[in-house]
Amino acid sequence: MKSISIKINGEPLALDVEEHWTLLYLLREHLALTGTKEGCGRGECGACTVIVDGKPINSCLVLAPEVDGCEITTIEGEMRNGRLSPLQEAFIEMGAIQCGFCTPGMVMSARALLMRNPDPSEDEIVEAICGNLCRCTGYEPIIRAIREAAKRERNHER
Amino acid sequence: MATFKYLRCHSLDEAIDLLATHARQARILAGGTDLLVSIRDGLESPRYLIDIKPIAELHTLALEDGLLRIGASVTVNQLIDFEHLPAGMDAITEAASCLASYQIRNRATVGGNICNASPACDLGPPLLVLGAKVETISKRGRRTIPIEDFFEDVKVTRLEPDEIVTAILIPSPRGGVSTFLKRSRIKGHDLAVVNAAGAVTKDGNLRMAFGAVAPTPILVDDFNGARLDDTARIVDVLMNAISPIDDVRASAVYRKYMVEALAKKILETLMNRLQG
Amino acid sequence: MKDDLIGASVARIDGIEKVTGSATYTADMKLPGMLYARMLLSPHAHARILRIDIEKAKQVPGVKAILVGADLPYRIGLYMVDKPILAQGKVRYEGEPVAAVAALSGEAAAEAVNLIEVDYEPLGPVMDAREALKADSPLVHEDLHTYKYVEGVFFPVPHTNIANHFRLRKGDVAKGFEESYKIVENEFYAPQVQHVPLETHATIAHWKPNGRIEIWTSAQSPFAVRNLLSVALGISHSRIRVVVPYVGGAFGGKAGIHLEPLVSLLSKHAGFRPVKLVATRTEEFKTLPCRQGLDARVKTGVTRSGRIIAEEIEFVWDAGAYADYGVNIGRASGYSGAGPYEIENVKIDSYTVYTNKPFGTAYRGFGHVELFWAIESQMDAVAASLGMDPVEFRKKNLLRPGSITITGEKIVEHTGNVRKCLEQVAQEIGWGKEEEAKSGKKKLRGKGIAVLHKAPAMPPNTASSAIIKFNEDATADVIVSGVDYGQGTATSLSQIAAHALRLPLEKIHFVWGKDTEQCPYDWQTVASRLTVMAGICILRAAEDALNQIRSIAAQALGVSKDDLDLDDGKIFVRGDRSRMLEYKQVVMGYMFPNGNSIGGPVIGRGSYVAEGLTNLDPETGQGLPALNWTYGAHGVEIEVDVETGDIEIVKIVSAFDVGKVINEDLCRGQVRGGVVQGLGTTLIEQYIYDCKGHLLNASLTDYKIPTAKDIPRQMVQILIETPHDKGPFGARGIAEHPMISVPSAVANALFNATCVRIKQLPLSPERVCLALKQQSQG
Ligand SMILES: Cc1cc2nc3c(=O)[nH]c(=O)nc-3n(C[C@H](O)[C@H](O)[C@H](O)COP(=O)(O)OP(=O)(O)OC[C@H]3O[C@@H](n4cnc5c(N)ncnc54)[C@H](O)[C@@H]3O)c2cc1C
Ligand code: FES
Ligand code: FES
Repeated sequence: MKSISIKINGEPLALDVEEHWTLLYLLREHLALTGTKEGCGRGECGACTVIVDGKPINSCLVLAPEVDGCEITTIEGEMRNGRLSPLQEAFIEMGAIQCGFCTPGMVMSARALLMRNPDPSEDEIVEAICGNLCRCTGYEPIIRAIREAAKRERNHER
Repeated sequence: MATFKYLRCHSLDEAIDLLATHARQARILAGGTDLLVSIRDGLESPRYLIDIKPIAELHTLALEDGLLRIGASVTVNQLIDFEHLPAGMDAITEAASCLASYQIRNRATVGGNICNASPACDLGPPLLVLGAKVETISKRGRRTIPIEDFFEDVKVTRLEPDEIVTAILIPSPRGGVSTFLKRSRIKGHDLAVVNAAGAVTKDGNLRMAFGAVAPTPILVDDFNGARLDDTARIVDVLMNAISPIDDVRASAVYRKYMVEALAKKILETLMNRLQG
Repeated sequence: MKDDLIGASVARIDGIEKVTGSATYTADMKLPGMLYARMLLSPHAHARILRIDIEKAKQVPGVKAILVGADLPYRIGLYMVDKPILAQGKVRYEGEPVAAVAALSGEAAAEAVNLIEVDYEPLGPVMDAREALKADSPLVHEDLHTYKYVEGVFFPVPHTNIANHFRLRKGDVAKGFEESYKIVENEFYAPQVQHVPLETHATIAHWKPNGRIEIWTSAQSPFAVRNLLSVALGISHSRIRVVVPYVGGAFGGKAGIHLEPLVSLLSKHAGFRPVKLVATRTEEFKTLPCRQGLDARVKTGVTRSGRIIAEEIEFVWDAGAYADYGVNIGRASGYSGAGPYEIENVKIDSYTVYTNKPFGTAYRGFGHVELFWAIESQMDAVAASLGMDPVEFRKKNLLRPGSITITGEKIVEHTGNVRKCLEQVAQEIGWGKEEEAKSGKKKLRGKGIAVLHKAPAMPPNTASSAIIKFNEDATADVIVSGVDYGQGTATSLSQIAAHALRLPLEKIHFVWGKDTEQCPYDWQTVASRLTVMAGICILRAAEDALNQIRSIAAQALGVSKDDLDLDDGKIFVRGDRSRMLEYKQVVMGYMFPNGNSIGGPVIGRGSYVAEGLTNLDPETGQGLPALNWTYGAHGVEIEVDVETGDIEIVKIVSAFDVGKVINEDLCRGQVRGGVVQGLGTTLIEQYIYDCKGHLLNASLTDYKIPTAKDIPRQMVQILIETPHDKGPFGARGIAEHPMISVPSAVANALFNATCVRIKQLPLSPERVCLALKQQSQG
């Protein structure tokens, strides 16, 4: 067991973790944050994507003790003041969701992209979500949703 | 996942101490994108994981007298974003840019990529053609190993069990140019079927390197004096240098064709870049 | 009023839950006292089990139950009852579950699994379906002749590896070939591939001390799970409850029954504690089903003017170790196997053959992706041999009103219009116009087209039902049992309900969780039949409910039922809009001012059983198997890199005669997703084995599916509406069809670009490159 302190979706938290737990396991099994999904457990599918210290990572390939002191954002932290974020709205409107299993990871990758680049080109969007597999949508509507969300969020900030 | 003890190091001394103590039962943990997959698959079951990421020194990414110093724990994305990359080192960013997915690259380190010593590792070929050196440390001191001596076999390096890579050093290309290409099964993130890098010095010396066509990434730097535009002779030399196998990703035959195809494109790019 | 709702692109009703991470999938659930299960998988493709020793495994702290095949004397099967829950006596594929453990934690279960000792005697694996047909082939199922199966529909051949032999005979092929101007013969091959839903199979089962079984599972069809479990274990349907929460993609791979029996029995043996089993991705590839391989021989005879007058087809389906849906795929591909063409003389033999590989099941298209790979590649090959334009050649032979299909069905106007699909696709792709490769001389451009059809493959008595019950505020709960695992059916059905009930969409509550205890019966969510069959049921349930509303309102207003109009949640007396009641005043019963009340809660009920379908003649395959045909066509433009073998999809146009669009965005979404999935099958995906039958690419590291970088540069969808006479508003199913014929369209484009015809999938860069090299070396 190791004691770690993290900030998760804005809330500080101190807890004990087993050393071989992955961050994904910690989130799903011990913090009941089941929005983050497991699709492969080996970095290939992106369903487990969360944002750690501003960067999207595959939480299935990060150990829980490694995130001691880190700030973590999961899909559960994406809503703003109880309302859908423009990104979430765009995903719904543009048909970027079918079964929804890839959606949380996809939204996290997109969120991280918009944090580092509020005006991404189509190529940049594709690069940012290429590590997130989706078997349902054919990706096109997801790419469109992210572009639309970027526009709305930029306009909103102005 | 199998159980192990996670040890977090804040200094190199601490890390080499721990490594010396636990020797063969321990593994260095950098980004974990290779190691944790191996452990999960049951291919490795170390008792101790020594996390070297908190060691500040290993994160250096800087030009020192024309020499590029890439700390072992520099992530692949940090390398891509590095703004002061000297001219002529394009091969390294081109390789980094097509390594895995964006998320993986946020964790994957340069040190981890070469220490893992996969025959298909994408940073192998560019480091080989750019004449990189691997700097290491152990209780017995520091040393540097030329990258062409670093890889020994599939997933085996010349590192001693108690040795840690601290940095990769790349000499200035001094007016030379370089490039990298990769063939995979899909356009999205995938391991290489064949990857390749090429570099030419200002005075026309060619070096080429290929991955996934031999037990380790291989360097070819003797082309019997063939000129850069003498593609046929160069390809002949390459064909003798490689020893590809059939595996789940591709057949040996296809790999040979791809070495030829990539070599041609690389030579073309190199000539263009030399003129440009 | 609400007419605009049908065809409108309303956003999917499950969007908010999914985009916030609050949609609960089976793997997200935990029950009090829940145990975790792991399976021990066979390392051999074919081997006798000599000994299993669980003593060491039992010692692991936290282990609550260990099961091996000998503990479970059951066999399960949809059509062919051939599959044990855990291997018994022998293993028939690598990855077959041999033992299972339930323990307090997944880690303890995994540790115990590792400690189970099994001795095997390896047997020669049967790895090739054609080899398996030979008389001297080892048998995968020695006891085939003793198995129960659906007699009269399926035709296993005892003491062989043939699980089903479907026959179709129309006209006289021998004569047809004799009269042919040209005969073209080809063999096409499609390997096994996998659905790769992002969510792997997951099940939680709780066998309760009172003998009831409760199951939460990532299944497509709760009633099918219940039925198969009931039959296999001999437990009454009423003692089994199956609940399906959100499902993370299915595509046919979660149809039928999979982990549920094992997990239920683990729960029973673990002291009646709930048990959870979530398949790892490796298990998803190795243990759970995939899509069958196909080896197809097609022989076509044509006249000089390009009319097809004879076709002989032999499909050899590589079923893998168990028949599952495979036998029915063999049957369905048999009765639709000649494509949407009118051909006088046809002979089809479709064999579903056991091998020692993971077993095949339904996968988006139910055999049609594979059969159209063969048929539509063949059509181009025949056109080429005649020197005819492939579009013109097809047009000459397409089904049209008045045509008789190969099973004897007469095509009429409302069957649908395949010609229109083909024509519109040809136009949109610029058929006949040459395009220069824009990216240099090492690339070649080509265009290809292919048509397709498919009808739902289902028993002639397939049934559905729906319930609509009103709430106090006159909102309506719509309850069906079809599962929306992403296709968007729930949204379309809500639109249908709103329209039919004359209510705004916001007043419809589509009940999400599917629960056999609370939802009305539905056969299965497969075969693109849900919108049609559940749609009809909802229309009927709505009509039933409205009738009740009318009766009550008529009494309340003192007029005849027939004098009432319904609109926007209100009931009016025709011609006098001031005499009006709101649904709210009626749906729980109407109270007169003096307190007297009439009516009562309104509950609408709608049922439907497919009508007019027949079983097929065992010798000739003649009969009426199809509720409705959906036709379509793809046109594709590609760029081939002659050095690397890369195929880049420049543009793909897809047209379908959907009858009536219920929700345009969702419809287009289905097409887009299906096309990209089809491109996976076309360009990348395949199971790869070593000679001993070990699957070499059982991970997403080496089984690649398309990523965001692998999609076409341009995708165009064309939705054609020739109304169907039975479907709701004329609609037909569309979920599976977009995937069908994508491989053949691309192969045809490849031929167009390079004059090389590849007859094996996938058209991977390696395969294309090597074929081109071979061509250039003569
Ligand atoms: C989904 C996925 C896709 C991938 N795609 C690619 C790809 O396209 N191309 C590619 O090349 N690789 C790919 N990889 C492999 C991997 O991401 C890279 O090799 C990465 O650079 C490894 O770095 P790491 O920091 O994660 O290494 P780790 O996993 O932390 O370590 C790898 C090995 O190196 C040792 N090690 C690490 N650092 C040191 C050090 N400083 N000194 C001594 N030993 C050390 C470790 O003990 C371990 O044995 C992929 C991996 C995944 C999961
Ligand atoms: S679960 Fe982490 S990448 Fe698939
Ligand atoms: S919506 Fe199903 S995987 Fe993306």
